[in-house]
Amino acid sequence: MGILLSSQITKFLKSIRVRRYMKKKSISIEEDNTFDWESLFQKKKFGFIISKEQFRGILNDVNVRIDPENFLVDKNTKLRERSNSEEELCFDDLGVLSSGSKIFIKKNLASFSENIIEKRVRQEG
Amino acid sequence: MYLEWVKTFYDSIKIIIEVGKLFRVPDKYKEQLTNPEIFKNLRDLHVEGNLILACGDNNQLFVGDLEKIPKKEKKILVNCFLTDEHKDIKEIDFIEETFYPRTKKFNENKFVDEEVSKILKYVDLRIRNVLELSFYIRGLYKGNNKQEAERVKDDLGLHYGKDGRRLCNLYLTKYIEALANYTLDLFWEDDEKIQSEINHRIMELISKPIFYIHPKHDASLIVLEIKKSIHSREPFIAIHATGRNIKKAIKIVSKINKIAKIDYDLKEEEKKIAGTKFYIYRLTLKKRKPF
Repeated sequence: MGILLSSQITKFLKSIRVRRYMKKKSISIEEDNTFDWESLFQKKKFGFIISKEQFRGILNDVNVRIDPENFLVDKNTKLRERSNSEEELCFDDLGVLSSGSKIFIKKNLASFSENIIEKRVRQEG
Repeated sequence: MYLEWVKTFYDSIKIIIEVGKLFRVPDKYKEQLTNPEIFKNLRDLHVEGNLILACGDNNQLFVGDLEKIPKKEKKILVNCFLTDEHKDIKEIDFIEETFYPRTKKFNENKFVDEEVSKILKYVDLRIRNVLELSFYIRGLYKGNNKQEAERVKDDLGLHYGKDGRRLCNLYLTKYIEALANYTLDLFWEDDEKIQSEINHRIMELISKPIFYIHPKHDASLIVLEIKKSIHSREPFIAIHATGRNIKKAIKIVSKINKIAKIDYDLKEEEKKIAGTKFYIYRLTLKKRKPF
């Protein structure tokens, strides 16, 4: 109970600090521009734009490792992951990781667009 | 100058990110932040270097720290990638930052070809993708963005090989529009027939010298193409035209008839379906007689 109260007080104090800090700065903020992760995760559709290095961490979270030849490998099945065009996928070629059975999309606009159309066709039934 | 702007921006949002919240980027800064160079500078200012951009509904953009996703939400996130379900799960993408500007531009693209779009519901997924990308390529050329147009064409070539590139070129030179109009007129409102014919006709057009005549086609260039096909002894050559294009097709035929007669059997056909005139001219390579 005590810990919970203390964390709420800290959160409150921090939010006051944030507002004071923002007011002093040259980039004026007309409205409250802070946003919770929880609210973002409530959305049905969203994306993260991340660096190549950050991709390594995300792949690890979804049970994928990078083998010595730089290919993506499923940690459970030990099989090389394939892109949406069914080719074995090198880490350097990875452009997008999409939800639902880990859909790997190559850094190639044709590969990206194919995935969008596939989703659209699926939704249309 | 960029670095100065990035520093000011970062200083303004620093505490929000540090306390593990997302910062909603005001519209006026969105364009700058999606520039990979500016975003890299912004990330370099962040001690842990885990800064990300997150895009949500209505094109909203947020800056946050990837490491600060709360445990509960991280679990939801990871589960969305590990499930085999495609329906009723959240649509979440992780996009590599240098690729993002290209995908963003593509998603914002509004260029639609009304004529060729009529056949999209009938064609195979791969053909549909090439055609939709070709609409985009045409829009890029029209918008004087030749560099990106060529890049997308290269992507098409890498993904679908020679056939993908050829289909794109056939679209850009109006052959697909002519084929679409011709097939839709021929099998008027017979969805089943259109579906079974259209993919076959497109694949045939890709692999064989078959010409569907369009008002914008240069007749002399088509004559040249047909003569090339005759010289290389292609087993089958055809010219299709409908309505007002028939006159142009007959003019083309008159220019190649003499040379074609030597090695080819010629068959000319005219028909009228639902008030529309169709013209087909077929050249079939003669069987060689023994000496």
